[in-house]
Amino acid sequence: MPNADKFEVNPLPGLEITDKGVAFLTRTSRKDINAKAEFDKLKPKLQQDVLNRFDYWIQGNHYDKYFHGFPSDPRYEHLWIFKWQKAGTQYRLYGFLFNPRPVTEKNFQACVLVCHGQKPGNDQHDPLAESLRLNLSVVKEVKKAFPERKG
Amino acid sequence: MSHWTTENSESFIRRVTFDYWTQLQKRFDSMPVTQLELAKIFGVSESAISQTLNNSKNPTLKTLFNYAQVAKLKFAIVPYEDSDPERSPINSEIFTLCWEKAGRPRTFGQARALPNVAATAFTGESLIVPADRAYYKPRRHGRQSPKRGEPFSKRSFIRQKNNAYTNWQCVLRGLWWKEIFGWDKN
Repeated sequence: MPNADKFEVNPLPGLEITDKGVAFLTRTSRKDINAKAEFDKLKPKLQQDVLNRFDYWIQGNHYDKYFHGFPSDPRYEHLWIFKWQKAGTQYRLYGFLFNPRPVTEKNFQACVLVCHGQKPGNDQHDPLAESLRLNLSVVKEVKKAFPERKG
Repeated sequence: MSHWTTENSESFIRRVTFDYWTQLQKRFDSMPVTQLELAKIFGVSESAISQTLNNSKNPTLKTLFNYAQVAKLKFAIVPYEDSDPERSPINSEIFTLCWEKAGRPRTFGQARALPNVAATAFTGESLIVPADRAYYKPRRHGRQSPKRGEPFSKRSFIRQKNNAYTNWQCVLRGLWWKEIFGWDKN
């Protein structure tokens, strides 16, 4: 019997979860949800530097050259991007921020990465991450990936 | 699960150099120095500078030194014991931050004279603050120090520069530490 095609949210293996966590959203039938696929295709050294950017955010640091939100645009209040540059082109992983632990950890932030884009070029994925943030099935999977703390 | 940097030496080194170049980039941003200017200083192409700052190559110590010089910085190589070796390495900026918050000790004597912050801050022991640090003694009208959670205005603070003193009551409450060091108990 084939696996049911549904949303899945998987925290990245090999990354810590502090008051922040990073995960990929996937769904077999959705080619536009391609953040994980594009990340997996990166060459090892570049992939490590993207992981370094995830770590830098997880540790609570700030650097707009590596990641940022769009606080001045109410349409993208929860949008978050990680970015890097190679040969003059800027690449981005788009995702959204969400707290799946409102009871046990009010300040927790999960960054769920949804799609890949590049600038200049294809920025049209912006609305996708926001629309999926509001999808109840996605929310359920994020809560499953980062359950409330026990005890 | 182990952190990805524990996989092999290349991963760990890549992380350490990433932290270094991040600090340098932030420094260059603040000076400011552009990649074009760096290219002129080092006599290389701008793309070579970009590759270096973006951690594309394994730098030599001489390269780290040369870039630090331009940034008017020094650097140290700091081995440390991690109680949980499966976790990620400590970001080098944290060491810098701690050194700065400790008043930038330059000798072993100065460093050894520093209070053990973690042990004293929340145990109620007396704490001597070095006299060369500016600090604030929380004071409210008619009361020595506010209760935990009470809001207080900075205008009611008394700033004392010249005399070291102890204030264990505020240390107990954790408020003083937050005000001076920006540390939260959690």
